[in-house]
Amino acid sequence: MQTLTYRVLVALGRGTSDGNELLTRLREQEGGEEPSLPTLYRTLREAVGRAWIRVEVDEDVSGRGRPPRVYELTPEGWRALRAQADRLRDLAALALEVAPASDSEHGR
Amino acid sequence: MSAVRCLRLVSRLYPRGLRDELLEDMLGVFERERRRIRAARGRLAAHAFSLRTIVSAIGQGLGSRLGDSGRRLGGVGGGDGRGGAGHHVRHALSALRAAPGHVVVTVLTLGLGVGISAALYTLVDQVMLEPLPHPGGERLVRVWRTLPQFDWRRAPVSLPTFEDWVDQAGSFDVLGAYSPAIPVTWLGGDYPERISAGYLTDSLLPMLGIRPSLGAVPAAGQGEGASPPALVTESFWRSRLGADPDVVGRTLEIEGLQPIVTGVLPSEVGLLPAGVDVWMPAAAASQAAERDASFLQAVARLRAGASVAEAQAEMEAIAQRVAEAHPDAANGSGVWIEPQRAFLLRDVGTLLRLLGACALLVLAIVCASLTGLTLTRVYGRSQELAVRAALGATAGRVGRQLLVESLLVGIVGAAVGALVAHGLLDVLLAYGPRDLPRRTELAFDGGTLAFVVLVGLGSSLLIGLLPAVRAVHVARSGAALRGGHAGAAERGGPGGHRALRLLAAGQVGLSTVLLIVAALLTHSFLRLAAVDPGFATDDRLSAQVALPNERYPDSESARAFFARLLERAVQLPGVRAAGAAWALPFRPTYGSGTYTVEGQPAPEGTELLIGLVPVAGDYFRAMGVPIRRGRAFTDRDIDGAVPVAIVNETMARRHWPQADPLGRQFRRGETAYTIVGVVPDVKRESLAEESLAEAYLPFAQVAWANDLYVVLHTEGDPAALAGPLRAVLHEMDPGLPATAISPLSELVAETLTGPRFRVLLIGGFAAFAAFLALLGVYGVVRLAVASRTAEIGLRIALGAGRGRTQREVVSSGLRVALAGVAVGVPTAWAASGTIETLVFGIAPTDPKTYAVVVAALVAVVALASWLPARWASRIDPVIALRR
Repeated sequence: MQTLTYRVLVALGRGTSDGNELLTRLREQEGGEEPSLPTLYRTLREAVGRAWIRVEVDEDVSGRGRPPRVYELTPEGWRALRAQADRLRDLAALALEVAPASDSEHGR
Repeated sequence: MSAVRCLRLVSRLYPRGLRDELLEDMLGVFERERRRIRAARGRLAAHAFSLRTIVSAIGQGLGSRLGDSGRRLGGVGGGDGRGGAGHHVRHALSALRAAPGHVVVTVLTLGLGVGISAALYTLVDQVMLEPLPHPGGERLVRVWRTLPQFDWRRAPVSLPTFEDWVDQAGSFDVLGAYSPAIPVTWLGGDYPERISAGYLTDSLLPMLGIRPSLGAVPAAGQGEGASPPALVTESFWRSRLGADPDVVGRTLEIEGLQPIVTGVLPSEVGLLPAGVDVWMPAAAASQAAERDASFLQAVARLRAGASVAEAQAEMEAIAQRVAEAHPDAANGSGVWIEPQRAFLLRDVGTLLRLLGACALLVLAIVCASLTGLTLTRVYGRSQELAVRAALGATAGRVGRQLLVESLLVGIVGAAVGALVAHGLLDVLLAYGPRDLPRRTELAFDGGTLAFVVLVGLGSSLLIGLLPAVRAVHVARSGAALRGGHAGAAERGGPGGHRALRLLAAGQVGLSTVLLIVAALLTHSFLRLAAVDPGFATDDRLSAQVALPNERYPDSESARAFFARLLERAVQLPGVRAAGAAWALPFRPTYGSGTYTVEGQPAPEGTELLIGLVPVAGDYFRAMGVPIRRGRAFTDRDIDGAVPVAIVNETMARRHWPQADPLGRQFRRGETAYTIVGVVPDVKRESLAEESLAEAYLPFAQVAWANDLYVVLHTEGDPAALAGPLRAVLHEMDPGLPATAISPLSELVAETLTGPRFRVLLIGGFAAFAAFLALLGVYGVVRLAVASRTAEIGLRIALGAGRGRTQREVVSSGLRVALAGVAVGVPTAWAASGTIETLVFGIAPTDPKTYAVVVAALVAVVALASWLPARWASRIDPVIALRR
């Protein structure tokens, strides 16, 4: 799973969101860069294609123009997020086993 | 074009299958996010966001397409088997890294071309095409009185007549009116100061959707009395009122009035004239009740569904009724409805269209030049391309590879273009004509950005297209592999050389058009600058002195004051002569009226119009206006003596072409003026104007002028006399300001600002275009020489002289140039009518100008061709034949 896909799933894990809100969540995620809109939407499209995300019309918003779409994690999305999180945790554990403690000097 | 529209357009690059609801949602998110960034971090950050999004969308769109194509082709690359957009991009980057010089030249040239075009597009778009910034802006019209007897189509209207129009007109939602800036004396500072007041009707600001930045618009119907409500403009509020946040309710001390501030208006907003300090209700103007005092310009918004023609018909009937009801004040009963947009563009429409055409020409030349450059590079890479083809890359893949390279360069070129456009717009704002309509709205906006991105990338694709096709041809033919060590340039073949020659000739043709336009404007400017304004401009200082009616209530007191002032001014060290006049050239004050000459009636349906200029002291000597015949005014030309006048040569020629005008008379009303002198014509508003008949009157015989411009003829720097003149005035009347102090030379120079700017702008574009065209010709000749090295060497070995070789090479360059000129000259000739209104003193088809441009172009092309010719003539036959 690509990093941005993972970040998007995490952001949507906090709750259903429209595009602007999703962008804000990604911006506020620790250590994450804000993706360009076309990159974000390419990622969304791929996630929708894998049935990880469901798209719905935001009926609460009225006014001129098309109502915004809201994005929501599907059960498959939750499972994929959980699996990736487990993988990352295992990888992190592996790294912690081999990496020296942060207060010791590397190579000595 | 807005950034959203641009993104929508770019999104068409996405394959059809990806243009779904998510794409639509992205556009909505983009719009909202852009608004948020603009509000939070400003316009520049919003532009940066738009640029990033658009560039990313282009990358995604093309990536999707190329990726699809690559997959369809089965990934037959240069032997590596990979086929996506990423591979194309990586390969393109590596190819570009190998040719940094080519990349830099291409990026800078494209950036300049795109930047220039984008700045001019913005100018044309925002001034000519964008909706007017007022509610129902496209329905706004000007309502003018017309005075056909004076051939005057844009005459102002008096307040009583305007109110009659409001009462009777049904074609408009609303009518409003305002006055131009009128000088008044402000007494609220450390010393009295001339400021500008404007008057407007209650309906005007709501109609235009203009709201004060502080306070409120005065309530309707409060104009009368000595303390009318007033709106101060922001510049006045800051400079004179210390940006007082509690300014609302403050009383302004203006001579004769004590207006009470109700709010602060932006300094330059919408169609209101710039330079006004205080706006007051039209009813507060001293001449508001007079039907003869036409001081208002009327604006109206057409009722929805009403046409200009309907409004015109209705207003003509109303004007007729008003004229019949007030026959004494009618003074012409015509009305003209002019759409506001047409009014705005009246002086600049032609120039803007010309600039738009220049932008297209520059862009076309840049594209042609870069196509030639890229094509040359493709020939230089023949071997590499052929090797890739031999290793399994399809011809289509090789072509796409070239397009991606071109696109990458285009992205960087577009970014440079954005910077160039931004800078050029700043230059236009700083140094462009101050009277450019909608100047305050001019800015680098989403439309400019969209233009930069679309044109930058579009041009780069266009530039890459022909080279890509040639690359496909080269890859397919495999000639490069068979050709051993022969010159790489040769692989272009005759077809390639023909394409290059055509491109170079096209560039020469297009730049010939631009050069001819620039040369005509330059020639015209030189003629204009050489026009004799009719007075001396060196060592002259002018200043306006306006006497307040309260302290100088009659003409006696005014005459006494100015006599004393001029007497003291001439005694200042460094002053040779001192005079004064009610109207000065290139200053706004000017008066005219009708006159008759016995036995010489005006043509049917017209009246004779004459400019009237009361003068005092030694005016003609101070201005350097020679008395051609007769005499100047003397102390004997006073009130009660025979009314006398000095007329200009236009007046003398018109009425007494074969006779001596001295002693002749003309009449104004009951007064007969005897002509005692003749002076040359003096330009009043522009150096290009035809002079009006004009009469100078002795100030001592005029009862209606209280404001005079003092003119000093000085011995050295006129600006040095400004201080002493102010001191004299202060000594004579501490409450009297001297305003508009400036050397006469500056007044004349200001009138040349617009034409000079035009020449510099279009001349700069023409020079850039011509430089590219020369490079194009040089490139063609250089390539031709390189591909014929062996042949030239053989000919030299067989005895061909080096001089002959040089002549042949130079003539090949000249043939290209002449082909271009043969197209460019007729094109410029055919288009010459469009610049007719922009040239002065020459015809837009002036053959001398055309001849000079063609001769200069041919000479420079010969020089550009001579460099490779010299190289050709030095080819060593032995070395050449070994290759």
